[in-house]
Amino acid sequence: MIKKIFIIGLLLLSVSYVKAQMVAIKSDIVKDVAMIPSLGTDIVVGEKHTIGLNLYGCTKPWGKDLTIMAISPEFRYWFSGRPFTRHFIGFSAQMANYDIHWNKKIYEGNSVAMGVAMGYTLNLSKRLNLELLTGLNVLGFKQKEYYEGDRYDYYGSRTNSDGIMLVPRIEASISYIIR
Amino acid sequence: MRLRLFYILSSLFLFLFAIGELHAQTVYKMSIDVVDPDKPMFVYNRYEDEITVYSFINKKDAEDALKGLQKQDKGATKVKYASTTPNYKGEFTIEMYGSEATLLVWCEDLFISHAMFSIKQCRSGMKIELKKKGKAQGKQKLMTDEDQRLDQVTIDAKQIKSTEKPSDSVEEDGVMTSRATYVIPYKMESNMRVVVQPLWYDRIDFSDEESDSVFSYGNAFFYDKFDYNVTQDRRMDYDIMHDKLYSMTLPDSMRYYVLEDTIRRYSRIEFTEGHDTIIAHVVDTLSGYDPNASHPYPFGAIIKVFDYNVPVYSTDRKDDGERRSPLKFIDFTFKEFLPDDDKFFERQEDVRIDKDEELHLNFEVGKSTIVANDSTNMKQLNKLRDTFIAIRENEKRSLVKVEVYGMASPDGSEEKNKSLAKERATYVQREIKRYTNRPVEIKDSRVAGWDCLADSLARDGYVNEAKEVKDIVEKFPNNMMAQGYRVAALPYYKSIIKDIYLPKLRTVRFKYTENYEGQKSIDKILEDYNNNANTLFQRGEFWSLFKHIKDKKELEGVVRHALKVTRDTETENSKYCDGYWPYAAALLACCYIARDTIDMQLLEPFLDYTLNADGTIKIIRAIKRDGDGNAAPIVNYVNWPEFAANQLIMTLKQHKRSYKNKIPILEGIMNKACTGTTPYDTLMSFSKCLRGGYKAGKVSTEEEAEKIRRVVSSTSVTNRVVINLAMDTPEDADVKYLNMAMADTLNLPDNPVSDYLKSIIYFRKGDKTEAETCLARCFEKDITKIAVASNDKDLISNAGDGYRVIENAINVWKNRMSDVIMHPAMDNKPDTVMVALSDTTMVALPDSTLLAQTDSLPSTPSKPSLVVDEKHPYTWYIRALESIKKSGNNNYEDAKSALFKCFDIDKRYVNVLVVSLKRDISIRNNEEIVEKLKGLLSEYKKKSKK
Repeated sequence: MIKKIFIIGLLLLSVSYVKAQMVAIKSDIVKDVAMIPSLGTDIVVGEKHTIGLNLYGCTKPWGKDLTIMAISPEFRYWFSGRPFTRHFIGFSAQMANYDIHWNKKIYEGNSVAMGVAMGYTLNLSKRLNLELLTGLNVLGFKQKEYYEGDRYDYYGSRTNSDGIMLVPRIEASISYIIR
Repeated sequence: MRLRLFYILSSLFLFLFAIGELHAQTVYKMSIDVVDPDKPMFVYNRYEDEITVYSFINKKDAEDALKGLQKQDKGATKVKYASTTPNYKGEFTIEMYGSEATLLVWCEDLFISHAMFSIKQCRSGMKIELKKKGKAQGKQKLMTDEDQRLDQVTIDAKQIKSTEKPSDSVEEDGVMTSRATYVIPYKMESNMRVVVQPLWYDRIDFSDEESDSVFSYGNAFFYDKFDYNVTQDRRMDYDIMHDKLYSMTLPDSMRYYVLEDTIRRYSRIEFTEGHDTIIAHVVDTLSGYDPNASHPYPFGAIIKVFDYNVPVYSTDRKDDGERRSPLKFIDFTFKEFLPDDDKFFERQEDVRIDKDEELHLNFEVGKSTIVANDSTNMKQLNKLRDTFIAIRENEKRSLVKVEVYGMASPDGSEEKNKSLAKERATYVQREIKRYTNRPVEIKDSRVAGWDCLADSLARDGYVNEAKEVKDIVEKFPNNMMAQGYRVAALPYYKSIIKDIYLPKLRTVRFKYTENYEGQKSIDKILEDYNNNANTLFQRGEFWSLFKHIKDKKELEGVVRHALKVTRDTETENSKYCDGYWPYAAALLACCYIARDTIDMQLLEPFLDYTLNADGTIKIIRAIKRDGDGNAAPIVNYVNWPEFAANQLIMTLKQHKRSYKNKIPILEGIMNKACTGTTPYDTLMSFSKCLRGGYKAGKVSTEEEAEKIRRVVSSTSVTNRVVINLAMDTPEDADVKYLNMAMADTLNLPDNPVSDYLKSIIYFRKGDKTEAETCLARCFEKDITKIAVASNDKDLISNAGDGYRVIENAINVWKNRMSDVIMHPAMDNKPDTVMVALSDTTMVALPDSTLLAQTDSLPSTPSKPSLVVDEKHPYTWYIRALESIKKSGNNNYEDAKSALFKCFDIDKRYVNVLVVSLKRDISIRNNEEIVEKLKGLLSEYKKKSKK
């Protein structure tokens, strides 16, 4: 299911012919350094508003056995009066699917998060910006959690673990206005 | 592993790419000033073709290039990294690359030093000073028209503070150009923009600045700081191509815009950054105003600083509307250019005339014979005879044909009436045939209907009766008999219808066509004209008539009438001439010019302003046909030089910008038509002079400008002085032109304009007292010059001390006027003596009054007795001013009645008072008096509107 959403999201990213609105693509350097490549797009929808869609995912980054695929729409309000300029506040949601092997334990499940973030965009040139963002997400997950030796799959796809947690969000993105 | 490396490198690259963008090249924006060691406070701005700035990658390249330049080696600067030339204000932006980059500033003038800086020393906003080495040899042109002189300059850590300069407005050829420098004392952040909107105001009531209305908006310009600039197009639906402000960033060639009728306008604002300030250098032009208006057109600007959302700072500026008009007193009177008689000769042509006349003969009832011995019949038949005999006996007239129409009244039998009509027509036909051999045809004979009777009744006011008859006709359509019975039964049939109106219906009409051969004698033409001024002559006849009318007003009326009635309807609405007779149009234009009137549309059909494909003026040839429809020799109908000359005279007199764009074409037409010295030379010189051609520039080269000055100066002494004063500019170090103007002061005629010009000359020479005296003399002769002088920048000191010639001149004028309004008493009886009322006013009192007050009043018994001229408006003006200075209601009422009387005698004193409120030192410093006078002025204006 999440994979389908991911693919649709990827397709949506390619749709940038929105009449007269400005479109930017961006990539989070923090995630990229963590070998979780990310790609997002932002579209201006008002004098002070943009909506964006971010995708990120990874498979075995840094040799670790983990797979993550996530999609995150976000709505931003720009206080300065110009989109992609100076201070903003963002309201985002996130849906992710993960399969993490960590310390002989396996965590396999889906998560949904919502959060708020504040940021600042530096204009480097007419099209190039540096976005710095920090925020907090409330993340809820439902997963299968078991040890490596366990043959948990024999018991179906029932989840056995769920919860809610606060997850910080720190991003430093380079965005480029493509039109 | 590789993948890991790829991710690290790519993210690093992204990060460095962003930051790295900033450091590859450094771009600096700097400016240059050249300082004259002889005048340390005086800074020249140099022109772009004299100073070049080079940047080099290292110091060695720079030093090698410098050596090469000093040896005048052409390839010296091959190794440069970048080069640029400063603009007229000395500003430039240059790229420097590398950590050892070096800047070299080089001036072509070898008396100016060079300057070299390393990149470490350079910073944005830096001012570089090039020193002048000793005195220049010969005359060096260091300043141009567009230079701004920074009179007060302070250098503070290589940042320059410029003081704001008042605007300098110069008027030429109906276009006012104003230059101003505004300092915006606001520290702009990176996300800010400053917008400067130039404005021209109209100050009709020039005593009241509050009454200013905006006359015209200039082009608004903006200056964005970095963040504002790069983020401007991030706004939703923003399209930079539709942003009017953006269009102002277009290059100069695209910055003109066209208003109605190709009025072109130039405006430009350039911004420089100072220390915590932004400086806007504004140039704007105004056209379409009335250059003859004495009230000022102040120039100003609204300045606002915006961040992304709101304006954060706002200020505005407005000057006093004073302007310099170098050519305002040029004596431009031109005689009209009469059309050439030989070229425009019109031959009289044969004319075919149709005439329609009625005969009212009294016929016997029921018969076709006329009543014998009837005086009416005799008169009618005599008239008939005279008509045809006149035609027969005149060699130039020939009868072509005659048609007769008979009509009978409807009473009685229709058949009988029809034949009666025919017989009566035959009678007339026979009569006519006695006098002519030409065919006389009975075209129609019929019976008038009863509705004709009804119409006749209605025409003569018998409305009810007419209605009754009409009702009968409608009730019995196509039945004459029934209608007749009913009409005969009407009570007033006998008294009105039968006796009066039925006989009127018994008529015979005849129409004849005759040919009139041309060459009507002038006596005949004049006779016809005197009988009826609106006679429809043909062109040839009008042509002869024009030559014999001496009175100018009468001639103008006849020509106007001729122009209207001789319009050829076949060529009406055609591209050229529009059917109008060119000669009449030209003559009418001459009449207008002779009485100083203009009609810009009159000669338009005869002028074609479009150019040929090769850019030459058009000369249109049209074929003139003779009376038989054969082609006659080719004649030019359009773009004759006389037409162009007269149109040019009228164009120069009016002030609408749109017409003035056609002036070069009109000059071209005159040039093309004539070679060598032409009668149009003086006119063309004047035309170019008024457009600024008296000095080298866009209109004329140096040689042409000299010729224009020579021609214009030769027309009169006044013009010579005006031209010399116009050529006298601050750059003219040896004041050659001012000295020439000074030498001519003795030759100027004795009129107010001469006094005004003398005032300017003495003022420029530094003799303020003489300037004030001359100006006062000018006001004495022509009071309207007070308003002109109040707005004239030529009479205001440039030194910034606020001195104006007019202020003291008004005082001198008042003293002089006090003498003017006194004149000796008619009988010279010593029964009046002079009594001083104030410093400036003396009045004559009867002697008895003096005897009663001998102890207290001074007297001058030795002087002859003088009386005040009660009819002179100044008498009442000064009384009003004296009264208003005193307190008390009575004095206020006295002042009011005196002032109103003054204005009633001479309305021009309204403007005198308005100017005095600001410029008369004895009034303006006292706010109470100023308010009282303003109140009186507005009262008077309200009163005169009623």
